[in-house]
Amino acid sequence: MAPRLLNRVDAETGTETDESFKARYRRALDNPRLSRNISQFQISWRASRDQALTEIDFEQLRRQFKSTKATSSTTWTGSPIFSSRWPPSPAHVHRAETAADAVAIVRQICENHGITQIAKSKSMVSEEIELNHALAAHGIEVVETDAGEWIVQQAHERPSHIVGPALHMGRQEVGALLNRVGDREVSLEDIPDQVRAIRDTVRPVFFTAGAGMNGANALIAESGTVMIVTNEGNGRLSGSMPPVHIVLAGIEKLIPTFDDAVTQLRLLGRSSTGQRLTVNTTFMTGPTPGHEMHIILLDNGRRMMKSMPEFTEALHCIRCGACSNVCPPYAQVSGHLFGHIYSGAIGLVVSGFHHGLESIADAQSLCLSCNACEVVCPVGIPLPRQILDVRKMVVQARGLSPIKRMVLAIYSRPDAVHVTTGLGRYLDRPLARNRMIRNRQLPKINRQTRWRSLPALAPQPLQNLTPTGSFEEGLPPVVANGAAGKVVALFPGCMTDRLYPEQGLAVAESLKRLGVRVIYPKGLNCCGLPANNMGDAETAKRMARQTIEALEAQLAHLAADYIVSGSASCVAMLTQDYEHLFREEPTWLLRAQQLAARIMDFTTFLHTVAKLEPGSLSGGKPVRLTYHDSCQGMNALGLKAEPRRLLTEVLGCELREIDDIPYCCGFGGSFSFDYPEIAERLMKRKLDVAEQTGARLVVTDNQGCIMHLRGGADVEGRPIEIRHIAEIVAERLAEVAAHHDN
Amino acid sequence: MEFLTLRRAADRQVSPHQIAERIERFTERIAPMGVVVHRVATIDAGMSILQEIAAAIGTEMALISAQLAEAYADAFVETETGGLRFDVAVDPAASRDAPLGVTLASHAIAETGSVVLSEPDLAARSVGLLSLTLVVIVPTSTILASLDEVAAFLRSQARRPGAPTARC
Repeated sequence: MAPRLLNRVDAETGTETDESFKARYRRALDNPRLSRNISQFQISWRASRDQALTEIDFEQLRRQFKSTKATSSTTWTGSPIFSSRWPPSPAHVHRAETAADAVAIVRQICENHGITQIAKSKSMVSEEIELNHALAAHGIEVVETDAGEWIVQQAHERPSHIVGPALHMGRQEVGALLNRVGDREVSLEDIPDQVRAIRDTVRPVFFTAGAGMNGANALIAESGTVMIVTNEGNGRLSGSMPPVHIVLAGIEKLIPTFDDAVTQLRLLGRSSTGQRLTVNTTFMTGPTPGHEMHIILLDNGRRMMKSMPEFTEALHCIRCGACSNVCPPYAQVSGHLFGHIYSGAIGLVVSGFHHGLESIADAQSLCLSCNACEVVCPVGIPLPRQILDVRKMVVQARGLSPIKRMVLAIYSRPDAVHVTTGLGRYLDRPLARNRMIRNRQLPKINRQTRWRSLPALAPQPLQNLTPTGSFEEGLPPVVANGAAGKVVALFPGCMTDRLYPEQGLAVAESLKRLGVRVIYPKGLNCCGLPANNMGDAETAKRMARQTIEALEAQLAHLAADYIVSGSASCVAMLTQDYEHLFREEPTWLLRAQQLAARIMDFTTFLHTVAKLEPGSLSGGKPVRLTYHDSCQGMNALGLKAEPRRLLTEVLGCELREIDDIPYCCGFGGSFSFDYPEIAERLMKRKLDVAEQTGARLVVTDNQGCIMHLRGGADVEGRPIEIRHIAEIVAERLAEVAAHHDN
Repeated sequence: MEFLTLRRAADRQVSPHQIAERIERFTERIAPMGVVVHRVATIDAGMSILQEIAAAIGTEMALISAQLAEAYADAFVETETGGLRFDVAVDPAASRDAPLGVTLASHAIAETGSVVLSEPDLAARSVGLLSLTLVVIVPTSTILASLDEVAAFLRSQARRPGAPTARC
């Protein structure tokens, strides 16, 4: 089936509009209510969800259900209950290989019974196969009975969220729509009045429809039971009142037992809406007496997904929508843009299998790889990695833009980088003021620089400021610590080397003052993260191999206990993404894993190796700060308590916590250059909440965040400083050392 | 939606203390959703509450499920005082927007503040689905501690020939 890239039918002409992705992007950005509504929802959802999770062991349940789903997928062909009839009142089970097959089956059922109207409970699978549209062409009306689905149906739009289809609409929009399509005046503000109006319109359909249709939240194999979860009760109404009941479900919905269903329920309500359990959970085994029941099991690309190991876990999705609820770009443009029919991070992964790669080729570029989705996913789907794999497929099909190709061509060659950055230092010297290049100096790239100053290249790269290829001995430890006497190879990362060498020096100085011998490996270039995030797998692998070889060569010459980096992004790349990059190359995989075993970020090193005692570095100059959790530090490396402990308990700083849900600053590497409008909004949000703490110093552990936030603060003249945690540590160590000397 | 809880002889496998704990937890979990839980010791006390509810709604008729009528045959006759009439639901269409419906839960779940309705036919199901105000009777001995226990019940229901649907 050819992908339908359109998002709406023109309400006036009834014809399909075919706006380009860019046009839809602009339209979304021009709607201020859209981002305000969704952002506010994300905040309230987070509070409810976090509260609901306090009652369960989320990690344990997640592991348990992930295992259940992994096992279930091996039994798709082996479920006799769902493959055959059983007495005395069998449900008819149908298998549909394609969307067209499923539509044909539904149509045949309707025609066999003379059905011209279906009362449908919420079903993303029916959206997936565009059932309503297909049946309408044959004179079969499908009436959505979920309030949100009904609203978007009346608006001739697709759902913008897997759980809350009308999330993109505010109450005034809904009220105006109801006044347009209804037969009585409806309040623009009073939501209960709006709900009553919808109920009055939809309720009769349960009694007039010839068929009711549901999706399935789970298909319980042990008994042939369909589990349906709703808040409105329409699932049970549509499954009970009409004489024919049709259940349409993806085959991945199969789970073995009722016990597994209970696990799913504990995760689903909490993850989708922050509820302990949704209002209605219905278990249907066979038809209502005197009625007929049909269950249609749909493939439509699911087996293909199952056959590709890197995507199999996406089949574990329980359609909770949590991935959308934490997604920063989603909040700015809604699911109409961030996905294709299936919205959110999961939509970026599965759409290619259901609707073809082209259906998601543009939307996938909206992911900025903050990893927030994977953190909240109740079944632990590695969504960020899968989205990058989709991106790589898109890049393979479409190629990269000329600019990106050129940038990576240079960046992947150390000698080219050396020449280019050397030249760059001369070129940007007349432009830079306080190591910033501002918009007035670069008006031609206004879209990039109007809102964020760019950093000038450092006068000297870190590798020129340190004995590269050699080492420095550790100093007498300023305080007793577990790292004294250890040997650490410093991996600065390319941004530290060329833009912020002072941060690399801070890491080195900190280590030395803890009694650590510091090795400065030579031949290091970029770890390959930009190439990986841009979707250029081959260049990423080439750069990864360079990095591995350079580190191995140096470590063969000068042995090190650890490899430490002040860049959380680089550490995530080296310790996690390399394994995925080389998954089909055993030799490189082993080499990457052997290095990864010794690599850690600066904060983790101080926490787990140095094990600085509380108060050991306190008593110096008072420092009031706030901490920005970088996405890679928090979501990929799991750092949350560690930097806070270091700053408050060890260093004695006054930490003012940001009052906001965990949220990306908007950098996302090349994302901030591809989608500067979104990046700017996220940056401003972060700077606003940071300033609201009353602290004038923002500390973080990632150079990308520093570059992004500094650039924004510079343009707006905000009285706020953004620094690396290593700089704070180094300064405090120097203070303590000076105090000892005195 | 309002509930009546009738106290019966304590289940020998669950101690009175455990039942009391479950009732408390169940009430704590369901109350924030706008549900009123009434704890009553006898069926007569329950009838009084039903009359109060009916009076507040302004109805003299309550629709009841056949299972409820069978379980409490003596109780659900037209009351002498208060004049509340009980009709057993037989036609789902007649249940539509019934002002007051009364049904019998097979279980309640303390963990989630849920009730489990297991109705073999559409008429019985229609009481819970279509009444504007629903009263669910939950024998305290049927209150389960957790969702895990209800899984066993659902399994037993599903494997019965002509299995009904169950809802919680």
